Amino acid sequence: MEEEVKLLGAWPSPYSYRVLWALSLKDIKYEYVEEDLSNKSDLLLKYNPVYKKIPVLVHGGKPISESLVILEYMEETWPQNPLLPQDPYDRAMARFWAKFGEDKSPIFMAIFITVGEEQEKAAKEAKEQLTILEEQALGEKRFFGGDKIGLTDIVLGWLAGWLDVIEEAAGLKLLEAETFPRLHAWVQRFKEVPGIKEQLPDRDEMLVYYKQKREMLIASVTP
Amino acid sequence: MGEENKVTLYGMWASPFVRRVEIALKIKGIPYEYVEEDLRNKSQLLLQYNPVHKKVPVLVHNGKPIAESLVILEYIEETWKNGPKILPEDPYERAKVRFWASFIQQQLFDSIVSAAKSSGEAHEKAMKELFEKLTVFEEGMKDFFPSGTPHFEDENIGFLDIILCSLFGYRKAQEEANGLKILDPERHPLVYSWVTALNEVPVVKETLPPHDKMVALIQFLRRNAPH
Repeated sequence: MEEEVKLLGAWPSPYSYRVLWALSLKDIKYEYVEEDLSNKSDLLLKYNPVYKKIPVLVHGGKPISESLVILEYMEETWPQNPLLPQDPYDRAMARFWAKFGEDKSPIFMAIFITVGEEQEKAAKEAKEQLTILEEQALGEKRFFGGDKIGLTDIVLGWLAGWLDVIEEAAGLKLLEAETFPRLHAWVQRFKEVPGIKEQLPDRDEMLVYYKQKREMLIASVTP
Repeated sequence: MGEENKVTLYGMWASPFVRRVEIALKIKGIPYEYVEEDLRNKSQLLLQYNPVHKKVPVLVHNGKPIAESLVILEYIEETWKNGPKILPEDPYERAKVRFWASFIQQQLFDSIVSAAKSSGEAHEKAMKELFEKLTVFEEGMKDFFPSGTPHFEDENIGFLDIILCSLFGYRKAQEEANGLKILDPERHPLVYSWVTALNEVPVVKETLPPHDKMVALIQFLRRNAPH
């Protein structure tokens, strides 16, 4: 018997999209609930009392929070179109790079919330992480997961759908094609994958959103 | 037997992250070689095996290296299928364990480090934050121990137990070295009794770093901390 699947998410959160992509790739029927993060629903507070954040996946009434935890749960519950390889060592590598992506995201966020010299420093650090991703994580593969997309691609998917908008809003470029040819190619490839292609946030709408956020942030940090 | 199934753990005696891996290897009964790293003078092998982070622990299995303690634990679970399991079978129960493992790692660990490194008003603030997070954790753990009192035999140690040991295993040394009391039996009775029960389990006792050596290290690090 099929148990009901519900996703509590929020546009344009990349964490929300990770789960949307996995649902799409595994062809799982679900109900989507858009949360207003400035006015969180009772449902969200009940399903994620610890963090009160999205995304939350609810399966048969049972909630799971934290996108990486959700992705592992989905992989175990709906094994079709696997996001992880079979071999334990390859799985370990996928998880290692997914964790790397997670741990380093504050470095990228830093370019968005800083100005001037601080922002330059953040940009330099961010490019170092991109170099590691380009050379060690991706290498010559089509996707981080190999021939097909996998967990790591999904966790790093924000680089494909969000980074260029954030760069534009923050006024600087990180992922230049000449400097990061492999990552650049991966971005184009990722956006064309069936299942991902139909689930990418609208770029123009995102630009408006992130530009507004950037203005607010700058106003609050500028003396 | 030769090179088949050769397991080497690169570690450092005081590292809580290394300890997690040691406990897991011992629970599963996996024979391994341990290599102590001097973190001020890292070996070529370590830098080769973990070029991204240059950190311990690194588990090398038949020549292939894996870094990041939680990734290593999942690898151990998936590779050595015989013997005790450290994760539950049911996917939802596994999700709960991974959720709280992430909470311990991202919320509690950082809070404890902040509390240990700060002084004065910043320290007060850090301790308050830590206690609040411990309360959230205490509440969450009632789900795992409905009867209220954790009780262990060696075989029952799992993922969360391992991570908790690595977090609170040094509190006696912390207390002696800098008076830091991070676990209050009155405010967090469940967590306190859980940690106390875990400390009696042989594999946990075996992997606890020597107390005096730990106290000396904490004091040394405190004196030489960058300002």
